[in-house]
Amino acid sequence: MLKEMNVDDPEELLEQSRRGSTQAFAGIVRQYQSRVRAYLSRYVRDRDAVEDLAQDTFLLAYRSLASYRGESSLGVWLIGIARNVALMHVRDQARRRARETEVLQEALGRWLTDALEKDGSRLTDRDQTLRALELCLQELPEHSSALVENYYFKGRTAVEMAREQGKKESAIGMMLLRIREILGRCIRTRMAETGVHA
Amino acid sequence: MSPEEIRDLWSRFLAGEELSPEAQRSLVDAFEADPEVRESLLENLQLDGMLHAMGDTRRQGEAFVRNLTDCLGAEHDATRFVKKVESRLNENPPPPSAPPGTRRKQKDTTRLFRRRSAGSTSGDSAWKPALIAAAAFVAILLLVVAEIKSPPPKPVVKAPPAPPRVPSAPESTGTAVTVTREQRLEELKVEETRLRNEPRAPEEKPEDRQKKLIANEDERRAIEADLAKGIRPSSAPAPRDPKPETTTTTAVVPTILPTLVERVAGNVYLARNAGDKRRAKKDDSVPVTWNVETPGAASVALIRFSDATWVEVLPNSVFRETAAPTESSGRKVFLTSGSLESQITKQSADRPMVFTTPAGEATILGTTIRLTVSHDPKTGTILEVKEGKVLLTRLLDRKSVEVVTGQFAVAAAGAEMAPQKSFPDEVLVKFGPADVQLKPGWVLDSGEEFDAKRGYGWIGPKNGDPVPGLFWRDGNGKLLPKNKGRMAVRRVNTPGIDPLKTTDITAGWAGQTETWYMPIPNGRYLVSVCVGDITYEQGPHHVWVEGIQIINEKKNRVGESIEVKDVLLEVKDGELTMRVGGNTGSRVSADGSTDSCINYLLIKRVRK
Repeated sequence: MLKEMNVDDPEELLEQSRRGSTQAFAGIVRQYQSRVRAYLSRYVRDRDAVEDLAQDTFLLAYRSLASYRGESSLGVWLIGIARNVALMHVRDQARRRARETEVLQEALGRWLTDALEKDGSRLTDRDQTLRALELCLQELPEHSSALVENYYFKGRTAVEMAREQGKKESAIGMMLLRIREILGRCIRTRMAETGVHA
Repeated sequence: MSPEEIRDLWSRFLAGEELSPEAQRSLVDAFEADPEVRESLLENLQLDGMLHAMGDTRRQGEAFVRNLTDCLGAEHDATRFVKKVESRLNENPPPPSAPPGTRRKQKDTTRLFRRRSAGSTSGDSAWKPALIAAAAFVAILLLVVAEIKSPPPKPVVKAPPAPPRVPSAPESTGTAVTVTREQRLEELKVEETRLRNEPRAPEEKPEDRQKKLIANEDERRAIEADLAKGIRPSSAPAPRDPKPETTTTTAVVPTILPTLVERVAGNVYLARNAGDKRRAKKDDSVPVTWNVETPGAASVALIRFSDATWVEVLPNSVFRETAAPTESSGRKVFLTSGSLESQITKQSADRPMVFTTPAGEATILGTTIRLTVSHDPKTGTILEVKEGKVLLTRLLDRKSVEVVTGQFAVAAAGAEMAPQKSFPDEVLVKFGPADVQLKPGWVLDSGEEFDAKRGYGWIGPKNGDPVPGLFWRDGNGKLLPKNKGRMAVRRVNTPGIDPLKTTDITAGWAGQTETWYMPIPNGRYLVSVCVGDITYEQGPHHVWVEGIQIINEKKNRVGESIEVKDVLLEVKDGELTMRVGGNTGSRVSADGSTDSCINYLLIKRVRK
């Protein structure tokens, strides 16, 4: 049945999903999981938790397909669900963290929860942030691009990379920080060009 | 704290370094003192998360989709089952004593297939699977009770061995009993449900129950296949009125399969990501989606499924069943990390068992395999087939290869997927010239450069340039120049001397090390090494295998070899690597040579 569908057409995938096709819904998940994961990862640092929350998001979406009326794009609708799922998670984590002794984790959790609570009106922007990031990655110098590829996309650790390059681990960390700063500026510029804020 | 110090600490924190409480406090104070700095570095943290998410999507995106689709598929199956149960209950209301709330809402069933991480509390609670399973079990019991209490419908399907009577069958005469295939199918389904759910009697062994279940399933599937093809036995009566006349349930319960822990060694845990974790013991039931974890080099768990398929979860592994078999799909399992071995009972052709890892997917109808997930994404997933035929699919691009008996294949980004001959349990690499008489289980290495077809060899050309001022003496006492690279040497040809020690490869004459390697499956191995020149005092010799120095500055005297046996080591990168030589400075031998002479390398695989 999937072969007869246009797997790139969200409308068609949506229609088939509403009729109960899990294969069609898998197509939607393929198209939107990177955006949903990226959104969740802005506010949740535990990557296993991000995976679970992304699963929650899509399961909730599947069960709520009947209520989606197309007033916003499918991506924005999914990110709206992801935001609610993430909010429940971070609030629960905040309660747990109140007993923790890790002061930095506790403070980070507090600040990220605040940021997420204020994020409700900017979901459209958030849907575009990932696209901006993808474009900005293409503009990175070769060396920076290789560093990002190895660390984030191939899962190498800073320790391994430091050993290979004959550098200190802290130097790798600082290089990554600078690359992210460059990417942050690039994203802000791109978002400003399209009239939205990062 | 200066802005540079703040950034330095922050970059180290994001790179995974553990900061001291003082450093953490300093960072928090700095952030609270300057909202702009905080804003900027939080943006940096969010980008860090987004980039990690992009990487995770690349690496695990397809596995994520499949896991989710499995959940939804299972939800459909479970929903159909619940509907059937509800329908049956409506036809045969439960007795007044039935407890309220035994029927489940449809949406809860998906939770049976979920995995949860620590602290994740959104949506329904994580304890529901057990409750739902219990409720489904109660529902089935109610069905049975309802059937017992309700007036017997006609005709009644009785449990075997007493076969039911078929009133309309014209062939029935006297006491002879004929059973239609449809009726037998119904009986088998009832029996299957009973076998899956009814507690065992104390005298009944788990394996007896499993055998009955397998026999029952085999017969049911055979009948279903015949009916689907329209095949009827020649003596069978014609199909009857399609209107159902029996009162038996047709459900196959998808989630309450008795998957059992059959054996544990070391530290074995049953855990789910919500944080529930308990030590596993023999005969424990393993719920679907719960991880079986075997941390530690001596930890092993043997898991047996209801169809007698077994999975041995090897040390330092995380394994789980993601979906139990249903009417429409086979069992699905996931190996998150580590290795497993499995013997898979013959599966139905349209419902194969599927083993998935972060990088690959093995679709199996019945065979014995070994599956390894490497720590290194470049190495990915290694599938070895001991017997049978398996379709291995790389999730990244859905490329597939068939792997047959005695082969292994790798599913990893950028790696060649072509199946290769499996590594045997034991191999002896004999170093020496081409005329060495090999024995079974030996392979010859004459110092040649690595060749993929041969499957092992050295890095760099065999014959390098001569090293000025360095000579060696052959078996006839003749002086020859020493070259960089490697030389295969026969020291003597005297009968009675262990042939393992009469030839060698000498390497590392110019102070450098020479590197030999062989691609082999990841895992643990016992390695033995022998060095020396029985005709001449040589050394000190140096040999490292997988970075472990096995021969350390030892010299051999005339007539003597140095053997170090059974060093346990672990291969994690898909290659066993050996370095030979490396003498410099004060470690150079008395005659000025720096080489080491390796006679043989014995590699024995450690299965458990």
